[in-house]
Formats: sequence, structure tokens, C-alpha cells
Amino acid sequence: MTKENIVLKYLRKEMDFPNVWCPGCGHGIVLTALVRAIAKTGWTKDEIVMVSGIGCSSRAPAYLDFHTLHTLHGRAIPFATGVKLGNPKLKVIVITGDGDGTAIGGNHFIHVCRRNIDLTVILFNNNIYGMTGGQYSPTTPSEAYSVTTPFGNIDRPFDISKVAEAAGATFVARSTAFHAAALENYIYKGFQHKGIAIIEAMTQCPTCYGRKNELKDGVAMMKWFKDHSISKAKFKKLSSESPESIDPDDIVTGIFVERDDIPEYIESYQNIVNSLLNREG
Amino acid sequence: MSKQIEIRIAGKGGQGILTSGYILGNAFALLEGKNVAQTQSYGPEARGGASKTDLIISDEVIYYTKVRKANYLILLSEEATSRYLDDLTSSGTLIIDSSIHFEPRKEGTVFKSNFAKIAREELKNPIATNLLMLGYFCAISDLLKPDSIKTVISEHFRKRFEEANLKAFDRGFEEGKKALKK
Amino acid sequence: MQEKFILGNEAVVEGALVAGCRFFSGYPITPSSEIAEAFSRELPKLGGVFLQMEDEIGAMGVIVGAALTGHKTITATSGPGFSLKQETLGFASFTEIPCVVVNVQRGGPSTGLPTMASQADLMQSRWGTHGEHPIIVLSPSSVQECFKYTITAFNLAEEFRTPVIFLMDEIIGHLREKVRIYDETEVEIINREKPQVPPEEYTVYKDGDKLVPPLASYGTGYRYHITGLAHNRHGLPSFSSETVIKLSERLHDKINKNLDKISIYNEFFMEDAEIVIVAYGSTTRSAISAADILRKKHGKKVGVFQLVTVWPFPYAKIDEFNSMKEIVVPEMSLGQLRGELEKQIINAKEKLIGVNRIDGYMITPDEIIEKTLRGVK
Ligand SMILES: Cc1ncc(C[n+]2csc(CCOP(=O)(O)OP(=O)(O)O)c2C)c(N)n1
Ligand code: SF4
Ligand SMILES: [Mg+2]
Repeated sequence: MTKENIVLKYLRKEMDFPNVWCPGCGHGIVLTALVRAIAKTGWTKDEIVMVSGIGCSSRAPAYLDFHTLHTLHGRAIPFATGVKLGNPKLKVIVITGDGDGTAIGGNHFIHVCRRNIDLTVILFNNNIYGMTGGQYSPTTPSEAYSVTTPFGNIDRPFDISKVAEAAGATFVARSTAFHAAALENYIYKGFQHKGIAIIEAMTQCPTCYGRKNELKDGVAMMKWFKDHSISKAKFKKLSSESPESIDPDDIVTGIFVERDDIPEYIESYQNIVNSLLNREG
Repeated sequence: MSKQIEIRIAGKGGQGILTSGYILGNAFALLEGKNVAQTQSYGPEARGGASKTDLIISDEVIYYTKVRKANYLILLSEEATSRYLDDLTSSGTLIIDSSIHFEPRKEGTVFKSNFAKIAREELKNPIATNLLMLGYFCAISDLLKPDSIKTVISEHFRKRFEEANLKAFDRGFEEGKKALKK
Repeated sequence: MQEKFILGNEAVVEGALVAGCRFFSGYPITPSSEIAEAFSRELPKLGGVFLQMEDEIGAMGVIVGAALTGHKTITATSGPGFSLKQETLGFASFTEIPCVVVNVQRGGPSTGLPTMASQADLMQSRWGTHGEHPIIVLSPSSVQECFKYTITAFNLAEEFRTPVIFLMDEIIGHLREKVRIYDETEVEIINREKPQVPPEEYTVYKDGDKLVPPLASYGTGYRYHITGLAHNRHGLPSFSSETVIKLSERLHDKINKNLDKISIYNEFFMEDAEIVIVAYGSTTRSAISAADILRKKHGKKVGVFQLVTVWPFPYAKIDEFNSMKEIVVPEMSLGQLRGELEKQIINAKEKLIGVNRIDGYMITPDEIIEKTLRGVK
């Protein structure tokens, strides 16, 4: 099957096309990587639930023929948690953005990492609030321009993968829209992981971010990802050998956390249930 | 019981006031077939160690749930006494720990007993003060059978405390009977 | 049937379990916390799910998500938490996902009187979320009613595919009374209607002319989209005037055309009444006490009308009270209930008497008696 065909297989026929995304937007690339990773799992459409918040990225599920739940700004993780606890057999995937997942939904984000419940979160990080027209987000770099940082951003950005790791996530990986194959692979690994998996997908918003920051279109932004990504291994090597050669804007990619020593939440809960049921019976 | 009886039990935290209200309410409601409305102090009212529980007991449906004037007022601390002494009906019955000083009442009946002291020194079981008090109240009021309260006590606490708890109740009941004879 | 001596808050849990609810998520807040605590003890024993979330918004999302897997779900909170739940409540109403939301009212606004009672969330329970949405709100006046009407709340939620708000107050939540607990064979239990058509023919928001289309559970072969955006019969976003208007009409019709099932009220001494006291929640109890005394001591023909379903408001029923000499409205707020009655009562200014208290204490029968005897002015 060609690349296109795999994706077509999962598209929802009732949905109007073309999609809501701008030309050059990276969200479509991330979505393709996601669908291709799903195809690899062999899961049926009926066992997949895709839950999103609000934002351009969160519009993705509507195009796909799964159980899809487009919720409220910042709240995809709680809804997904409810779905998973309600029926643990379902494979629950969360689609969120940098604003959705780490600003308004930041509290849920850190707590879901801590709780280690078996969900896969794909966070589309385009460093901006795309949907609302390009206001700065918790990941907008310092000094960058946006429609609400007309004089440059004085906030310091989150490194989402580090936040996830510090909050206790048991699988954390990051890649970019340019590195779609690696991204697909990380997402797939996230699916295989038992517990919370956070995959940070760097994606471009040429319309709102690029335009304001001397990256004129999607292609320019993809090139930027290509030039400014650095693998975890290379970053480690450079850090010890020549730290001065590292550009602070560079995006470190790779799998940062992958551990299986922490019990998964629903399993722990089920242990309590089982011990109580045994006691009764 | 023809009309509604209102009971207030008050003291300080750690005396098991709320538990005693729960036990008494339970006994009236489930073993004596009465209607009961039980409430207790929460929040600011319950801070600083104050503790209070109110019970309304009736054969009829109870609507308004708050104690207006108590027919029985049981006081186990100085602070509760200064706060609630006036909430007794003029003909009401006051049951109070002997260690507490208070303005003597012109009307009504007053029963004083050394609940805390007996629990502490004789039974070596200070946390059973409330059960002693319940036994005493049961004897004085004659509103319900001692067995009703004892059944609830047996069910409510851990089995290994059952004997000591029932002993405290019986001791209180005995004191109450003695007081009635005086 | 089994008798228990328990708190109103605990009776909600008993009712929920009998109704078939096996899923609770919440965030602690006085005076509702006993509900969470009781669920945390009971649900694991039954193989059900208890989850304390990081805040009330999260808990609300969790119960709506879980409801889509077929669960009957519930959360419980009080004022500040109820405010936080509003956005998701609107989502559940608009997307037609059943759930029960308990608000044990305490004094507000803001942190207010955390341990004391209030009935000032009456309007918030109707209009707390943005936009115009239908909602069902029930309010109990005793521990027995907590048990009974929690079951009703689940029944209505499932039958009409809607969130139902269970509007309690601190007095009822923290009151201990004797309750008769019936098991599931002794009470009516309504379960969610499942689709009768194969997946290819199923649409989540349309089934012929039915006002309440069946909701398929996730994982049962029926795939569909849910969004808080205006949506068509597939659940997919659609902003066409026709779709938007039709959707709103159906949402309101499913409630307003089923008032016979949804609108619940109780009447006391109403046969010959010339004066009516209209009340709900704990205030009903003082109203009945007052009516009894007004009849026996003052020879006044006073009746009591208790709203159990406070929303949708029983305007048609209230209209009948135009024949009364006086209408007395006691409430622990500055007059939210009275304001709603004003819409229906002709010459409201000459007939409606408010008895209002906002200091966290229960309105006493004496206060109602005094105002009733004094009349308007
Ligand atoms: C409660 C609430 N506040 C604000 C908004 C407006 N809003 C919609 S999307 C969005 C930002 C989305 O940004 P992000 O999550 O990064 O997604 P992107 O569009 O960049 O993919 C905002 C602020 C909203 N829908 N709800
Ligand atoms: S605004 Fe940005 S994020 Fe949104 S669709 Fe357009 S390019 Fe993509
Ligand atoms: Mg973004």
C-alpha cells in the first residue's frame, strides 16, 4: 500500500474536505505520522478513541474514522482519562496543542504524567496559538514575535518534554514535522508503552508564527526544523565536548524517557478491586 | 413519646460527642422506630475544640431540623456550658459533668455526674466518657431501652473494644439509676 | 428494603449505586466531601471506578468521557467547584451526554460560607454555563429524598440524554435521618437506549423524529464524532443556520415536551389553601412546619408547594397560584425563586412575599409565620 492509501483507509467519509488547516501547516504531517503509526499496531477502528481539546491541532480527530471526541480547550486529558477508566480495553489517544496542553490544560498535563495512566498524548507544538490568530503560547521562544508580543516575548518558554519528564511521565519523546519517519516511530513506541506516553511533535504554523518571525512559509519552517534539530546522542556528546557549539534554539529530539518500573494506574486500581472482591467472595 | 423531644450534647473535641450523637440517633431511629433528625457542628463552629450534636426525636415526621430549645442538654465542657446553657427549656433536664462550674438554674432538673473522672480513674478508659454519658442519659431519660444503644455500640466499634465499651455504658447506666433514687 | 441512619450526602451515594452508577470522579470541597468519601469506600468493592482529580474541571471531564463508554457517572461539588464545572456542563448538555452533577450549596459568592447553607445557586444551576442550553435540576428536602431523587436524576439523565444537576444544600447534605434503602428490584430504573440499527445506519444525533436519539457506547462498533461545536446528525461540525436552529429546537423540545415526566413537585395541605408557600430543598421543611402552625394556631388556610424539579420551572403550575391570596417564598437567597414566580404571577407586587436569609442559617418556621401574617408590605 502506498503512503496515501494507508491514510485514506482511516479517513471519515462524512467529513467535508479539504481540511481546516492552512497551506504549509505542519499539523497534517503530524497527523499522517500518527495514522501510519496506528496502522502498524493492527488495532481496529472500533477499539480506538481519539480525544482532543480546542485548537487547530485538536481539529484532527474529526477527519478520522474512530470514536472521536472533540472536547473543550485544555480538557482533552480529563475526558480521555474518563474514557480509559470507563473501558480500559479501548486504546485512547489524546491530541492536543502547546496552548491546549500546557497553558489552559497544563494542570491536567502534569497530573496525567504523575498518574501514569495508559494514554498516548500527541502534543502538536507549534509555539503559538494558531486557532485564535497567533497569540504567544507557553512555548513561544523568548524574544519571538506574535500578535500579543508585538515588542518581543519576555516570557521564558517551557521545554514540554522536560516538564513531562519532571512530572513523572514514563515515556517521553520528541521529534519534528520534518522528521516524520522518526515521529511515526516514536508514536508507535508510545502506543506500545504501558502507561502514559507523551510525544511532543514540533510542527510549524507558517500563518501565525512563521510570518511574524522571518520564516516566510511552511517550507522555510521545515528547513528550520531540519537545520536546528539535534539528536539526543549528539546533544549529549556536544554538551561535554563543546557546549559553546550548541545553539540554544536547537530542538533536541529522541526518546527521553522509557521506563517500565512504575505501575500503570488502572492496573494498580484493579489490584485494589481484585483484593476487595476476593475478600468478599 | 407524644411530642417532639430535642436533645443537645456538647463538649470539646476528643470527647466523642459526635460519635455519641450518631449512636444515640441510630438507636432511636433503627432500634426504637422513631423519626430522628441529627445534626452536628461543622467548620468554624467545630474549631477550637468545640463539639456539638443535636437530635430531634419524634413519632411524627420531623420538618424543621434545628434544635430550638432542648428538652435534654448534656454538657461535658466549660466552654460548651457557657455557650449552650441557655438553650434548655425551662422545665428541661440538664446533665452535666460534675467538674464544670455554672450558674445554678431556678427551674428544671439538674443531674451532675463525674463522667470524665470515672472513665479516667475507675475504668482507665478516658475515651469512653461519651459511652458512660450515654448510659447515664439512657437511665435518666427513660426514652429508650439500654439494649438499643448497646446494640449500636457493639456494631459501631471494633470487636476488641466491645467489652470495655459496654462496660462503660453499663457503668453510666448504673450511675444514672443511682441518681434517680436520690 | 433496608433501613439506615445516614447523612443526606451518604444517601446520594446509596441512590446512585442502586441506580446502577459505578463511576465517580470529583475534587474535595465542603460541604460535599462525604459524597466522595463514601464513593471511595463503596465503588472499588463493586468493581466500580473512583477517581479524585486535580480539580473540578478535570473531574467533570472525566465523568463526561466515562459516560461515553456506557457508564452512569456522577460528580459532587459545592459553589466554587460548581462554577468551575460550568463550561463542561454546557458541553455535556449540548453534546447530549448523560451524567449527574451534585452541588451541595454553601454560602457564596466566592469562598463565602464554606460550612453553611445557601440556596443562591438556583440561577447558576439554570444559567451557569454560557449560551442557551436545556437542563434538568432536582432538589431534595430530606435524606430519604436524597436517595429517591438521586435515582430519579439518573433516570432522567439516561432517558433524556442530558446532564442532571442535583441541587442540594448544606442542611440536607449534613443532616442524618432514617432512610429506607430499596434495592434495584424495588425501584424504577431507566437505562440508556441503545441503537436499534446497524452501525452503517446509525447517526448519533438523529433517529427518525425521536427527540432523544439513542447514544451508542464507545467500543460497541458504532463510531461517531462528538464536538462542542454546532453539529449535524453525525456529530460533525456544521454552522448552517438550518442545522443550528434544528439542533437547538430539538434540545429544548426534548425537555419541554416531556414535562409530565420531568416536572416533579409535592403538595402539602393544598386542597383548601388560600395562601401558598412555594419552596424547595431544606426550606421546604420550615415551610411545612410553618403551614402547620399557621393552620392550627392562626386559622389560616396555608398550603405548601415543594418544587423537586426546580428546572425546567413549572410555570403552568405556578399560574394556578394566581387564585391565591398570598404567595410566600422562603429561600436562602435574596429572591431568586421569587423572581421566577414574578414572571407568572399577575400583580406579583401585591401577592408575593419573600422570606429571605443569606447568613448561612436555615430559615425558621417562625420567620415564615411572621411574614405570612404580616402580609405584603
Ligand atoms: C476556555 C477557552 N479559552 C480560550 C479559547 C480560545 N482558544 C481556542 S484555541 C486556542 C489556542 C490553541 O492553541 P494550541 O493549543 O497551541 O493549538 P493550535 O491552534 O496552535 O494548534 C484558544 C486560546 C477557548 N476555546 N476556550
Ligand atoms: S493557523 Fe497555523 S496551526 Fe492553524 S491551521 Fe493555520 S498554519 Fe496550522
Ligand atoms: Mg499551538
